[in-house]
Amino acid sequence: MASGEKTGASGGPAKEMYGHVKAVNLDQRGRAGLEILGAMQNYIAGTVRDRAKKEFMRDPEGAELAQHWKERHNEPWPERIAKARTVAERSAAYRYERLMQRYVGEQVYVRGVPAAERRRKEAEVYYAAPVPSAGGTLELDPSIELPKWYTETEWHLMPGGWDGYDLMGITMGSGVGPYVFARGGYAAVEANDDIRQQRVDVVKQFPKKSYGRIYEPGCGGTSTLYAVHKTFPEAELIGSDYSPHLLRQGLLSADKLGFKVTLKQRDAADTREPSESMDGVIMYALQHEMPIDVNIAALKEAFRILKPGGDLVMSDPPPFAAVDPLQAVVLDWDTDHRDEPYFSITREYEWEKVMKDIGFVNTEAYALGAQGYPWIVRGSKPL
Amino acid sequence: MVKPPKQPYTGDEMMDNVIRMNAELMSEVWILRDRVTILEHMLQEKGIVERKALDDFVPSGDLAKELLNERDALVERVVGGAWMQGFSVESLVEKAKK
Repeated sequence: MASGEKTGASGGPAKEMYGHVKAVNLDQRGRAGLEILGAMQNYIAGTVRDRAKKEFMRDPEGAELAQHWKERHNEPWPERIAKARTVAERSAAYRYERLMQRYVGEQVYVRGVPAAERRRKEAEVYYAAPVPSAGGTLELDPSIELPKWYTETEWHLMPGGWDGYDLMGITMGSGVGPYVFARGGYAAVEANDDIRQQRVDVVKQFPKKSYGRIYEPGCGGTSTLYAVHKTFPEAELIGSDYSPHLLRQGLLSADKLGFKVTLKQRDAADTREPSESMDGVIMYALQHEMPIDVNIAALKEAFRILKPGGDLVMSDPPPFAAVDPLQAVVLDWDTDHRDEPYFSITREYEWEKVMKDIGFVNTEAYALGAQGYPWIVRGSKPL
Repeated sequence: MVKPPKQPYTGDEMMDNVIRMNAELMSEVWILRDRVTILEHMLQEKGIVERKALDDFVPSGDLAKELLNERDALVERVVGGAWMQGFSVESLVEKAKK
């Protein structure tokens, strides 16, 4: 066919597809069923949410909240958010947008898992095929103790979590990533945002022109490390995660894309790397997945492994104080409705101040995008 | 097990359900439309049916009658669905004759 791709195993050069290399082509039902979810999410997060925002601002209570949103220091964030949520829920557009967000959030797995399953044979062929090594390694640690906060959460409504289904890499890399996430419009990601470009933009927040060794805790499928490689091709890349599935997928992606990574199954707060051994540390979309004490421990660990003068760049959804009230309600919603138990609590903090308390200098926080996302917090270890 | 939402988003569980059904139907419409478009493309590529011929084709005779009946039945099922809550054996048998 002149204008199509063969079904089954995805041929041709490796393509980085939103967290994984695209391994197989889904069948027509799988592809089209996910593509329409991408279209729905894009529309609701754009057009329908804009309508909800207008309705919020037309409400006198909403307008008053927006006017003084950042000045209500004496009012704890949960109370402030609850007031804004009450106003938001008066809007039919808001309620509809949230229902459809939830629907798409569920359906990406309801459709994506069977779609991957229908390609099991092709996936097995893909995984069994020899891949030339780019020199990377993977060290799993069967003795590692996974905390309850990690094992008892079905992140993003993903049934069984990352390690609950052996073809989740196919579901995400060959389905949900390219067909749904690519359209934007979920969590802090705005409709039409290019999440691949956002990773590159975040990596560019490292202040130096070149780096020797860069570490990423919670590296997942190495998408961010790939963006680091593209930006700093000379850097040695080391990553860690709890998930064996993601780490295996990450090494495979790196081999397919031809960049070297050293991957280890580690706790972000206990990397077992030597002190002062890294020139840079990057944390991408990790903070909102971890409880506060674990976040602080992970930052202290980053400080420990950084060389004097080394840099830390973090990117996560913006804090509540950096967005308008309706956007804060939208961010808070993920906590209870998309199985993100630490989303809200981590948005209450000013992390640049936490970093300063740990010992980082030149700490700063700022947004790259119009709605506060990607949000950057960065700092350096003193010389 | 991913748990269902604790409360309906619209404030009415049935309204949530109807909206979910509508989204599911829209998805099915799209999946079929995607497939038909690919089918037309492949038929044209293989030189079997030109897409223009499909556009220009006007059903007549038995085919036109078949489409008319199917179309009317669809309208009755969908548009009339709200009022079709009472039925008897006779009404159902009558329906089968249509």
